Amino acid sequence: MGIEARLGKVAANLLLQLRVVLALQERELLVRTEKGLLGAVGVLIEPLFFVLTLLALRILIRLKTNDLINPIIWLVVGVCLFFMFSEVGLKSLSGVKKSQDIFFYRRIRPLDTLLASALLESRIYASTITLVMLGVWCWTWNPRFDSPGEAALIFVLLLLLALGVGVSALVIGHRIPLVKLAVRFFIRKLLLWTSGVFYALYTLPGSVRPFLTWNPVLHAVELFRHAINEAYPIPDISMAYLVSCALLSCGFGLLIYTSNEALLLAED
Amino acid sequence: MSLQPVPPLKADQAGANSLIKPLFFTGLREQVAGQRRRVPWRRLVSAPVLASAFVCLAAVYCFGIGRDRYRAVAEFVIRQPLPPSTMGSSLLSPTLGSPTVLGSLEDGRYLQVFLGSPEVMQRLYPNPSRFQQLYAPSWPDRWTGLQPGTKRDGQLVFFQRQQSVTPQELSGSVILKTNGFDPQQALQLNRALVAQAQRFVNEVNQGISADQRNFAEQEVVMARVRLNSANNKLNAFQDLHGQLNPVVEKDATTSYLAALESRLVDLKVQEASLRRQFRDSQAPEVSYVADQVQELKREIGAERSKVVSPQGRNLNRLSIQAQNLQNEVAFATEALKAAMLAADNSRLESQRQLKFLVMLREPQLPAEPEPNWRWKAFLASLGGLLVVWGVGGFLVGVVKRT
Repeated sequence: MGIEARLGKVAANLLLQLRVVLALQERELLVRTEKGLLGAVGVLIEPLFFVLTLLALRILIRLKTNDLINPIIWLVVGVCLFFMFSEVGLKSLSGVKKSQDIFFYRRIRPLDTLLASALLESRIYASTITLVMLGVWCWTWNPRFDSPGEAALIFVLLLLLALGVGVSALVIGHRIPLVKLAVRFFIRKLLLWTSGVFYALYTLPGSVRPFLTWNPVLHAVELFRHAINEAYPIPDISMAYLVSCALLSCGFGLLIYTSNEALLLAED
Repeated sequence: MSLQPVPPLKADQAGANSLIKPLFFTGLREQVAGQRRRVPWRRLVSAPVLASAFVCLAAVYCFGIGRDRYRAVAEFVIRQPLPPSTMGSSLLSPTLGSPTVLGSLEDGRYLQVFLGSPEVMQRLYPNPSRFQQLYAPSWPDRWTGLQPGTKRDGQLVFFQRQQSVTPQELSGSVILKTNGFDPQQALQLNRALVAQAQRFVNEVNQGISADQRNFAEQEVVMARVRLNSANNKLNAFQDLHGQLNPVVEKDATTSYLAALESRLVDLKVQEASLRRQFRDSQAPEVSYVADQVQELKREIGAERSKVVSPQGRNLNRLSIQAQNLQNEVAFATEALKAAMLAADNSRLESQRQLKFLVMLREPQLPAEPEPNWRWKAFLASLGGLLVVWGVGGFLVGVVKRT
């Protein structure tokens, strides 16, 4: 087989894989739409409600803000990025079991359902961030986004990180169920307070920062805020760390998934 | 691997799973054949083709056509020789910034506005056509630069885009970045803006001090006038009443009356003693002393009434008036002294430099073009495409389902 033919075959397989994931994502959106109270719009509004609640709480307790980034955008970025990570990671733990029926189609693998779920969550939260930013810019008539490309890259890296963590926890948790519980607790309880959702890292004393900067989600959140305004200080934050964590997590997750795929396909 | 029997599909998933079927029962070849049966030119406006074309165009522009940009960076901090007194310390005070850092940050924020102002642009580029010529587009990148015929407002926007003034929250320093289409352009603009920043820091402080000096000099003039007026009033009072100092005279009169009363007490004691010695109260020795006592009493009463009576010397009123006038003179003298001291200090302050622009990093001639903008622009294009596909497609899907 010539090189061109091989490349053509690879491209065709990649396109097919993409169409499988997109189709599964559409399926999941349809299921959510039919289950949700507000239908299709509810899929988008649910994260917005949560953001509005946190915003009201922030206004009530009068958290200190800076004039570098609009406070609504500042909060929405933190909330949406963290909850995207959380939803992708947590849904990966239970997504395979819920989609057992469609594994009848031999072409569909558990990883495809996880990718579809991650894609849907990322689109929901990306839409939320985009709509809120556009709304704030229209209200204040002062748009500012210094590095949109970098922000998109950070978003994708965080998605990869979440996927890697979710897949790893899923596979390991299949053998050791306690791992699933630990990951759920870790993501819901610990990561929420160490991910810079409600505070900016540079406002904390230097002696406290080493206890938080191990968390790559914090790096993603602060880097995203820095991409909006380059004057936003990000001490001890590194893009290299986020890239490393995302690639390692994704690589490890895919590696152990490949060797344990049959385990996931077997019914519990 | 053993597959378990598939449970029957639920009703709400049946519709969803119908999306999966066409995927597998219509193979890739059939899809391609189907596409070939369509009109050929419609394939060109399909989403993948448009997206690929967009990415290719972005790559060609960013890495091929796009003009080189050079960047010069300077960093400085605005310091006072005597830092202001520190506020009370708190747990977060190291992170919130010392007063010096906050002061430099404040000046940095003013500079952000000042360096992008029309006045600075006018000083650096007084000739608009010369400015247009310096930043004119060049082949092959006809989109980057100052387009011919741009009005002054558009030139100002372009000028503001060529610079970036970023105060650093943590250290208080200010980073000044300037862009140019060749290294000299970027360096010259950076140095010119640093000079303008230096001028701003000095002018503001010296301007404030000059205003304060003018005010202090006016206060000196007013204090002098007031002192002269008080002195004139006191002199007129003294001339009118023929007395140098009514207060001193009142004190002297009081002493004199006290002496008379003391003498009266002695005479009374002597009279009482003589009355006990002599049986006859009309004896000449007793009468002599009694007459002296009566005379002295009459004299003391007459003197006292002369001092305080309005028809007499009225020393009480005069002394109060004199005291007030003297107090007025003393106050005017002190006020003049204070005004003269303030005026002298303002004069010194207006000539002295209150704040210094300390260079932490001098701008250097860029050795090579800035590579970051190409990757940033390309990533921004990809990010935009991702947002349009991811967000736009999703929102369209949600609207369709609604």
